Amino acid sequence: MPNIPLAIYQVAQIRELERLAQKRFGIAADVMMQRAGKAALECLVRRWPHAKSIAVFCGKGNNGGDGYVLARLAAERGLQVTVWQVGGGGALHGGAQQAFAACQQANVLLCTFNKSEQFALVDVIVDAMCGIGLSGKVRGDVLQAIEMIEQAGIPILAIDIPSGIDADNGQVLGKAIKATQTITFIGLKLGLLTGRGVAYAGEVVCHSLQLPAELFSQVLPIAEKTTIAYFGSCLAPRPRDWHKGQSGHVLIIGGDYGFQGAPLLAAKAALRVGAGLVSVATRVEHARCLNVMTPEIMVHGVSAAKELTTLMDDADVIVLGPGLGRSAWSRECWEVAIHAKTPLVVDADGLNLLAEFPQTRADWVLTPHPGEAGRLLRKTSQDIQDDRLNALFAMQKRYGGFCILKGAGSLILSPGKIPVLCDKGNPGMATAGMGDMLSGVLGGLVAQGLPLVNAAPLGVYLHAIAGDLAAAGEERGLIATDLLPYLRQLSNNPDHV
Amino acid sequence: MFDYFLPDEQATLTVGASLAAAIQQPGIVIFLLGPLGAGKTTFSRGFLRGLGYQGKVKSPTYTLVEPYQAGFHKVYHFDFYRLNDPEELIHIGIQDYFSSTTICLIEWPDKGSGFLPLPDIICRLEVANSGRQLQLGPGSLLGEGVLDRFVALYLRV
Repeated sequence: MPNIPLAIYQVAQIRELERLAQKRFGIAADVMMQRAGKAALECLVRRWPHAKSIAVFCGKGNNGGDGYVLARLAAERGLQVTVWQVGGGGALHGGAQQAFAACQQANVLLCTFNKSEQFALVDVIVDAMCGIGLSGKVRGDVLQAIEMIEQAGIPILAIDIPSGIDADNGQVLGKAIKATQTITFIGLKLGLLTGRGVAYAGEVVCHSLQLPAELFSQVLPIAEKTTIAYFGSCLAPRPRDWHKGQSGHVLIIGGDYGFQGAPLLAAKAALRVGAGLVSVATRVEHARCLNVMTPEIMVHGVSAAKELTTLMDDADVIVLGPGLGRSAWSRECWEVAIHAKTPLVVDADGLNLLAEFPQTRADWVLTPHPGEAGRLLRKTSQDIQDDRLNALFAMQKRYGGFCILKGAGSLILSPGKIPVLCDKGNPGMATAGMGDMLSGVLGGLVAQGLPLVNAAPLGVYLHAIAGDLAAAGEERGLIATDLLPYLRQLSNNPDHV
Repeated sequence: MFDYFLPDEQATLTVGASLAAAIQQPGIVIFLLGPLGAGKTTFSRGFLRGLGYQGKVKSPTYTLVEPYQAGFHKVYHFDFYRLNDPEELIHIGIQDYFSSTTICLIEWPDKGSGFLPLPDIICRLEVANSGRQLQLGPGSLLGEGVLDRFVALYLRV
């Protein structure tokens, strides 16, 4: 049974793992290269069993070496193989030279890449050009090859990482290969799972190159992927004598003029993951309407912020921000709420106000998307996306508590822990109200007594998978409330792990 | 969601076997969708082989359900194509088949709608370019975990 790898690394740790593999365990670089090439070919043959003809694009370094190994083995297997060499003149590095020589001996067709050459008649393209060592923008014939491959519209297997993607942060370095499938080696790279890398990596599988488990215990990963296995016990079935007081009370504060729906979405999500009681504190004018729409929710019209204090005394957790707005009313409510004795989930305008009036707390969960994160850190959202991991650390340093940086490959940071990455969810979830749902889910979980350290990653995970189930392959047109039945189903499926 | 092209019967058997091998615990319901002749029973045969069952696998079209003991697992293979009314399922005691100790493969689940549990895994097969197009997606957290292991086994990583 394969062990699904969860550890996520940046280039520095991968290099260290390679170094230790050679030094402590005597696994030579060319042995790893042989294993990588073989594993990549196995993957290709299974993924595209009909493939008879392949084109392998090889760079000058070790990534190219993996490609040469794959090319030779593919030819031995009877596939029609053409190798295209990129990276200009000059010698191949180290192990790649040997792998190249083996290809020559095996009479594999080796060609220097030329812009005018045609390769459009192959079944699969293998990208072994840049690997994880790329720094600076792609240029020259590599750039040309990426452009031509893109136009060919043929399935692409990327070896280790699509060429042009920065393995540390997922940035596109000028131009990058959009892979159908990426087989990555030794460990998952952050750049495949976050930032724009997500859009380029395709389906990602990880092969350990059979490096010993002992080796992996010597290098700390930079982040870890979530799986539901972490949380099995968090959603245990309830004893039959359970009462609603034990399920906790969520207070949602928000819903300024024009945004009355946002707290309602958060409230519904909180109820569907199992909160016992949900109150909403909102504009007086909205209270009656919300009450009629959802009788399960207790809605309180708040005209003066001080009215919040009694409501806050009854709550186990406060969700501050859905549709809160930035009016004088919003600001007063915010000012009162952030001094709550209970833990807080701060979202949306709750975060925008925090950016204006910075302060720290140990027991809040901040849930910014890249735009809000940009405001919290006085940067642009592009800056945040270019280096999501460091943005996450910077936010926690400045504001304390728990931080969730939303967007493809959501990152969750708890104090004293390594970041957790959620690779579930889909682009259909980039719609209005989806963030309100997440804040409600988080509130609902905290209300049931889950420590923030569990609630934060679990909430993100449930929300993402509910989004995937609700979309069922049809992402366009997904709306926030589509998630509700799935949130309920998932919250009751804890034995299903 | 995985979307794979399967050029021949062998590929369908292999993918079925890989899915079976990825199952760590019973209590799994798999819906098999797709038209007649799409390879649902072939997939099921591969699946049962993957669990270690070596005997004959026949289509349950006329019997509604075929039971198997495959390795340690009790497997029920259903085909509701000939079902006229989902309520007929009550008469075969349908609820008794679904438990935390069984694995259920269900062809034509839409014809049993209302009497079936939610699927953990949804498998859709279509005829495409002289082969088959397979889509595999999770329906539950359990299914999510199985598919994570499936892809690792199938792609031999």
